[in-house]
Amino acid sequence: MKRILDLILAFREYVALATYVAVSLVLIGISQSTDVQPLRAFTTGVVGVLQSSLAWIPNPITLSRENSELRQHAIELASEVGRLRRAKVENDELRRMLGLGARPEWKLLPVEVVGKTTNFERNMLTLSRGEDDGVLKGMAVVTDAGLVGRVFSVSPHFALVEMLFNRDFRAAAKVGRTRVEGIVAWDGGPTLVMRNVPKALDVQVGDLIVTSEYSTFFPADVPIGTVIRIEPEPNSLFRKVTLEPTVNLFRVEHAYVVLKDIQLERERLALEQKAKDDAAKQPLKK
Amino acid sequence: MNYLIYAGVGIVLVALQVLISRFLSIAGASPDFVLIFLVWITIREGQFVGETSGFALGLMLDIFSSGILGAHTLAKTVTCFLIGFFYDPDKVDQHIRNWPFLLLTLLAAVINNFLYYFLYTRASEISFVEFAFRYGAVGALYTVVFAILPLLYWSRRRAY
Repeated sequence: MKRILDLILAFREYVALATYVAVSLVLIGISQSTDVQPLRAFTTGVVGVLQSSLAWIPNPITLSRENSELRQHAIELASEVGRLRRAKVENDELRRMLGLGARPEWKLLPVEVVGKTTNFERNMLTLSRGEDDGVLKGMAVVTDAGLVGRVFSVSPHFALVEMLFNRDFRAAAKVGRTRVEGIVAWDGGPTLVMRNVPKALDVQVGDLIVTSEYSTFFPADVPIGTVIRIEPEPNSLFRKVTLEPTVNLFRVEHAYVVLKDIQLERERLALEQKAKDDAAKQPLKK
Repeated sequence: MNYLIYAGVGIVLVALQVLISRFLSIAGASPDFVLIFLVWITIREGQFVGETSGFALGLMLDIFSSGILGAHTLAKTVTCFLIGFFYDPDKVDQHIRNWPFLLLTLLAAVINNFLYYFLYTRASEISFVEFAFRYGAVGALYTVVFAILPLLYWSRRRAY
């Protein structure tokens, strides 16, 4: 026993390294597990409180540029609102004529960004509202310009949002003009990438990419980005479409959480689960 | 007593790293205060204390930064272990007060960033090589710039 102990002491650096590496690997393995959610919720609360106490500190480099951009944006939005009002009246009229009924309205919760981490390793926002205000993990976060991200962790008074520039971000999306579907993810740079877009289908530079009805987390038709480049993927039937996000993710100060109707959501999930179960039970046709 | 001081300083630096990195971010890269401190501890106390500190502070950083749990822990533990090979009890003063400190910080930052980004980019659409060079290299240089501050401080203090 003493010899083993002496041996461990003699090689303690290596024994410690092996132990620490093993523990780290276990932690990496359970990183996405629901078991660590209580810990995430606790740290979201602690970091949220600390960040909200620092939220008053402005970033002087970006303030002036942001002001002029906002003025320009306000002018553009004013003209767009007029056009959209006319389009909405027309759209409602056409839907009524076709018997489609009204689209469900989103419930939006206005939130303030109290903390922001925008380096390329970790792009997160801390919001001023949490579980007590009805915010739940997985809810979408948007601004007037489009999609910002989704709620990653919540504490009673704060919520942590994973922005689009995040390794885990994926969204079912479509080209607004032609309804061509694909998957949008972050490519590690200041742009996003839409994959699984067949070469034969119509996508052009300048097209607006919006969230698809197939998205589990995001409501449909929220702008994600504008196509800036289209490249063929080598040895593949698909193209790689590069997007510039519609939201300036580094200057988000206020946003909205899209609140889900829990009752409706449960009903939808139960229905989808039932359909899956039924399909699994059916014997394969020869 | 020394270890208690190290723990206190480490906790403050983790808090700074999590809370104020947005004010110092340039081209998407931030200085790694925790890593500078870990290099200093490793040069001063050796491989075992260094890697243990790397494990503890890396774990704290993982917990409070809401990133991939275990990624900072692994990267910082291995980095301190490797930097520990440069530990020489007879040259501690020389290493901490002179340019070797900057050189070791650069080496540590490169190892740490490459390990971290390897774990970060796996199972994603991000290209590891592009990401590590684009942000890892800038981040490493930025960290070295900040390492000049403690170097200046220690080089002006009387030898202990």
